[in-house]
Amino acid sequence: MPEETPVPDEAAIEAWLAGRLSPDEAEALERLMAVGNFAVDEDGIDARALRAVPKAEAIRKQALLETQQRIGGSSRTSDLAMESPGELIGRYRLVERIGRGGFGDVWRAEQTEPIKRFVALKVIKLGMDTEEVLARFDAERQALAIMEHPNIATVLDAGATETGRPFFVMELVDGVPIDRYCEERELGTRQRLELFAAVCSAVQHAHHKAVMHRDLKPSNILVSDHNGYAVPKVIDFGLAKATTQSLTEHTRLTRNEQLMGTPAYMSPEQASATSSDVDTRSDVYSLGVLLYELLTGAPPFDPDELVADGYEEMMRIIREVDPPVPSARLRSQSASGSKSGRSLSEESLSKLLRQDLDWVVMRAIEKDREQRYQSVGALGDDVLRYLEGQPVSAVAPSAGYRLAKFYRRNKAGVLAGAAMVGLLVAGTAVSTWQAWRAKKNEARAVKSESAALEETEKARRLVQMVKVMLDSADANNRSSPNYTVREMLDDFSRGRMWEQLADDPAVEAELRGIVASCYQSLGRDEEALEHAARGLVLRRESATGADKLKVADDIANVANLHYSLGDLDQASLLLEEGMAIEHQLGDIKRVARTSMTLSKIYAGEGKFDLAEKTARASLKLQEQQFQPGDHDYLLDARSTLALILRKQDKSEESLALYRQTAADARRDLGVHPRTAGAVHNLATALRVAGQPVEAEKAFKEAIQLRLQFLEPGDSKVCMTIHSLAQALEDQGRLDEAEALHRKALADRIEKTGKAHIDIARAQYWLADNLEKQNRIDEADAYRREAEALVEQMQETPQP
Amino acid sequence: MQDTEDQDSWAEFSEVYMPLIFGFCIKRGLKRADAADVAQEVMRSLSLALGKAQYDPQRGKFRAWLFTAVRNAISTHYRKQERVPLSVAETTLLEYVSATPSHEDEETWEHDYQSQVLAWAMEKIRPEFADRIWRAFEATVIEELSAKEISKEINMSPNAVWVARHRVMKRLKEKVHSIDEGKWEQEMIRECQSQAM
Repeated sequence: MPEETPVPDEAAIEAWLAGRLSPDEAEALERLMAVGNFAVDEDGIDARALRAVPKAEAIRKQALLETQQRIGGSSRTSDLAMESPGELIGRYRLVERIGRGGFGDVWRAEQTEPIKRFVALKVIKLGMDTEEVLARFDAERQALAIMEHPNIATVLDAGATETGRPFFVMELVDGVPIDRYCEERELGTRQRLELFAAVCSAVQHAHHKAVMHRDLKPSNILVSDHNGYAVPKVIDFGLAKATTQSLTEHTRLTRNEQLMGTPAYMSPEQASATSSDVDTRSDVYSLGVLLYELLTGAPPFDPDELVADGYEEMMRIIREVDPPVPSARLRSQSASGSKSGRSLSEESLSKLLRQDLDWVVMRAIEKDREQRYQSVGALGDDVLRYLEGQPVSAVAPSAGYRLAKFYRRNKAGVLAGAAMVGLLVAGTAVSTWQAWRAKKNEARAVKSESAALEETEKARRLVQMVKVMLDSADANNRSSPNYTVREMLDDFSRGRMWEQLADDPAVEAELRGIVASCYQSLGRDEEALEHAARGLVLRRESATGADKLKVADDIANVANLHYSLGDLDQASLLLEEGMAIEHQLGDIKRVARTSMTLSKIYAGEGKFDLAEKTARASLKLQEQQFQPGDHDYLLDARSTLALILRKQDKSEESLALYRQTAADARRDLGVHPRTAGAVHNLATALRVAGQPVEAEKAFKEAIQLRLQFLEPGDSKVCMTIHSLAQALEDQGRLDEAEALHRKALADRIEKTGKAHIDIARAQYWLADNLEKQNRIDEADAYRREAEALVEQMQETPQP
Repeated sequence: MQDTEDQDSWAEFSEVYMPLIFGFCIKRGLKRADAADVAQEVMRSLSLALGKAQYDPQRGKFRAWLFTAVRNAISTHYRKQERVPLSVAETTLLEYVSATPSHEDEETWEHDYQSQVLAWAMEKIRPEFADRIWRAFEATVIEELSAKEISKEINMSPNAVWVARHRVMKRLKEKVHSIDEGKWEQEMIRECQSQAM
């Protein structure tokens, strides 16, 4: 009787596959397996793809590694279950959910001790590092606690839920978002502006207390009625910093886009790739957007359209696209018949707006923060001034300024290739001309037709020249694959087209200026100077009347180029001429600013007496002419004079100026990189003047300020820490100083690695300290290390 | 719970697509860190698009949508680097990247997608099999060794090697076919839109 071949059963095979059989069992089973029964059906599996799997695996590993480093191993706490009513979080009992947003849920909660009250409790639902959020929040807590303003909802507490999610506790505000409030009550423009001014005063107060908001938008400004008065309250102060910053650091993954701020209200600098450098002027921008929305019924960029074309496009719009001025938006709305929900008639509103409000709004939402209101206070002041019927400080931008702005914004584009440069130039030319014409037509309502035609003709010729440029680029493009932007510029500027322009100096002057600025952006100052100087000559010939201000513009550019090429004599000569023109035209502000530049040049030449006199005169003028928004210039002027005075050994007066500068910055700019700089300068001056205790205080303040914008380990932060340490050394507190030196050194190394000139500098300072403690050997060791580093640096120059 | 399901769609989706995009960027000459940036950027814009209902499922599949998004993100990435001056050769490369996709590109993308899916599926099913079984599969399928060659290494009869290969292959096919891009799509849209509130 033939023995029946035992067929392995399915269960056994599965155990075998999973490795659940003992080696003996496995061997027995394997012996039973017959060949031929297992033709593999490999349909749908691409053999080539299979062979590429090892490569795919390697890529997976790399990708995982790269992204894990960013996520920082944070757990996906967002996956955890939701809170429910009645639940106890810390000492707060959840009552009902009152809101749900990108950040998480907002609850009405009841606090029982130390007092019984209702609060708003916000649970953050991000998959982010709870400890870090809370640490960041702790850093802000002190500042938050001292905020006391009727229009700010105080943040009371923070902590972590049992499941590890951070939560914040706030004063409960019983109101509706400001946009809805205005719509529902059909508030008129005046009432809206009054509400807005109150919001500005709240935000300004916070800035004075060193707290930025960073996420201002209608849903964060709640309005409620108190005895018939509308009272706005800004909520969520300080939360954005605690929560968004860790985003840039790690959670840049997938779906957390809602953490980045609310796109429609996000300032261009927040939208830029390296968004660590964000200051109070970012809040100015967000408030500008809010004002725009309150006046026109919608923010400058439609939130839906913003996100329609993806992330990159959204960022581009925020950074580059100029929205229409509010009055124009209103006109187009009424033309297209769309409902803005406004209670005023569109006609009269748009008239109202056109006067001054347009410029107030547009200045607040400037892309370049240097051109914005420098503080929320200045914005609020202008709104109040408008309400009182006084002239506002914001004015329609000048053509020259628009050109500069257009150029700056497109600079990255210029560098991206020949074609881009061509487009840029064409765009610049046209936009300059249009802006210039628009301005002229506006400024002088009556304008002869022939003059207008003349301008159009100029614009046409300019565009024609740009075409020549593009054509030449194209021809060369085909002949050489390595044709660079610079070569294109060279070919263009040496070409014959200048001859064609011989009869039209005004157009040539304009074009020369454009070519010069292209060269300048490529770092070719000499070529830039050549064209700028030629442009200036032509401009002098062709300019008449008010156009003379353009001569002064050109002079400033040429002088600037001389200055960067080291020709101080030429620079100062030219500036003196420019100043004379500005004087003649009665533009006192420009006279003041130009003379300040001059005084810097005099100082650079060692002519301190002259520098001092000029700086004093300039400062006096600037103080007389001061308007909100001029803070930066004034600060700069004071610091310059203070520095000149110090060089002259007039340290008492110098110190007084530094004091004043710092005090003004604190008052006017609040938390601001420039305030940090001013306080640091004051501290240094104090130390030099032999007042180390005061210096210590000021350095500490400067460090606090710097850390608002910069990270530990940043060059400036470390620099100020070392300075603080030296102020301690002056007081004989060597131990403490040593610890500080070491901390700053370690922070810096962590940031830059050891091969950085800052490290050598820090090591020298540390060595000085150790020497004072008579630890000569240790000091020597650091000095040697520093010297070696310096040598190494000289061999391999830093980029 | 519905949320958990959604998480899975996103998770599966990004487990397959993140490395795919990352790898594509590496092939286009990006550094690892930059490639990771681009990959995350693309995922972020996808979630923005899904969240705002701007993404129209009719327009095509994820893969095609993402392919365009990736190429745009790469060209933006290059544009962002402020290197002076950019030669026309580089400019040409940029234009090449952002111009209409070449067949070669599309093929690379498709092909890489297939192998990423396989790699992902293998990652998922790997724990289900004993080391020897897996080795038999890997050697015969990926390294294209004969059953006989590998049978010595792992001390397993050639017949058993065939069985192992067959079984793993079957499971692999199952896993690969479990990917339902349409389902991912729907669930991701649902989640994004509920978040975007």
